[in-house]
Amino acid sequence: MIKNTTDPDDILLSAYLDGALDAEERRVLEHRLTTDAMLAERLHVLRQSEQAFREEIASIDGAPMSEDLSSLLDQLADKNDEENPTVVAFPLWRGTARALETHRAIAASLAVLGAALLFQMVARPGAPSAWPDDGLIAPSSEIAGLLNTRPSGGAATLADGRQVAFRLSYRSKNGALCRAFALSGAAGEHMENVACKERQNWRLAFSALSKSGGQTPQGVYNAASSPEAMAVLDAYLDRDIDGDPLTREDETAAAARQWRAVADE
Amino acid sequence: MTRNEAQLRRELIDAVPVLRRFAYSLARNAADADDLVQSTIERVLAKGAPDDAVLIKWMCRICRNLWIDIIRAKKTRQDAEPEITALSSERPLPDRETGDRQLLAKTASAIDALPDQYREVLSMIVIGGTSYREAAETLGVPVGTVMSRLARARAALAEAVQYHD
Repeated sequence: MIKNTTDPDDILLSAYLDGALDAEERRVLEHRLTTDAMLAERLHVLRQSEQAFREEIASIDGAPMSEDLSSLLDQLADKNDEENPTVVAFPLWRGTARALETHRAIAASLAVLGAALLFQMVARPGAPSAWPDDGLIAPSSEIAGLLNTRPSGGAATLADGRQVAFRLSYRSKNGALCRAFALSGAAGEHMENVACKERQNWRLAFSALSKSGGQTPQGVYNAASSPEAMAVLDAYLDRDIDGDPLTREDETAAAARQWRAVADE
Repeated sequence: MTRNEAQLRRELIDAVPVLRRFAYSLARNAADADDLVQSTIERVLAKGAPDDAVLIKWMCRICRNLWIDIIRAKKTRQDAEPEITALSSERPLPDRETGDRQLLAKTASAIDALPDQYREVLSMIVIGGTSYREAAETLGVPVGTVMSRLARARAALAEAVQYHD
């Protein structure tokens, strides 16, 4: 039942969740949250309700797309292919884009899953994740060391047994140098990530998690395999990349500069 | 920057995942959501989109307008033929409800129970990425009304599903 009056704190917390408070309002609220346990609990409840809303809405991704809509999208894609038949410049994600076209219902889920995860992991401090809340990768960590030195195409095993595979490096539209890399664990978890160099540090800009975990109920999308997580990465890269990926020579030069972006590169 | 036709088609395809979710959040069943998405794409192909518009936001706006038209038409039909009001609320998620699926089903019922004006503003902000100001303009209400509807919608969902249990 919708109440006719709204708790002013609910309005404030709701706006906080949407990132709609100005800096001063946010500062005051965050201070209150550290001293008022009930307010913090209310924020938690409202955040959970929104997360549940997102998850329920995402259930559409598991529903087969109507034939009419699917056919319309095929026409759009085919028309673009006819007009631009030689788009193979970026094998990694153009390849996954093809898979994305053939499984649109799954791709739909992935793309938004990626967005949701990005939102959860990067834009929402406090959300549980495998990464620090602020996305900062500790300079002394193994991953930071590998990001500094390992070329794309290379792989490594971390001390905890996880595998790292470096996909590609590129300059982002905001001028930073970024690296896409995958992390896989023995339990089947798989993450496709992008980290960008920010002054002295690498900061996570994107992360999409695939979990493998038993049988997925029929009709529910299973984001278990890395090709699917790569489709999410694919969509992110398409939006973020400025120009071509760095060549091996570019990467060597960038590594020599500790991956700091230079205007004349 | 002006979009050429190929860019527009590419952006339309890219927008579909989010638009499909947005349409589903309004229509609350998969078939109607796909019809809305299709009509939205066709509308943009026929009439184009402003060069300075963020396409997904523009499409969400069109999608919402189409949904409003459908609601109005449905209401008219229902007024004329009361016997068709008992439409089933088709869910993409069926049985086997355990744990998360029970929560999902409970959430679905709570979303269904939200009045349209609350559900649409929650969808616009949370799914469509619309700003408060844009939502207020679209809905023709003050920003404060957008904020209070959002808060009420979130509170109502939390109340209905008892996430804190």
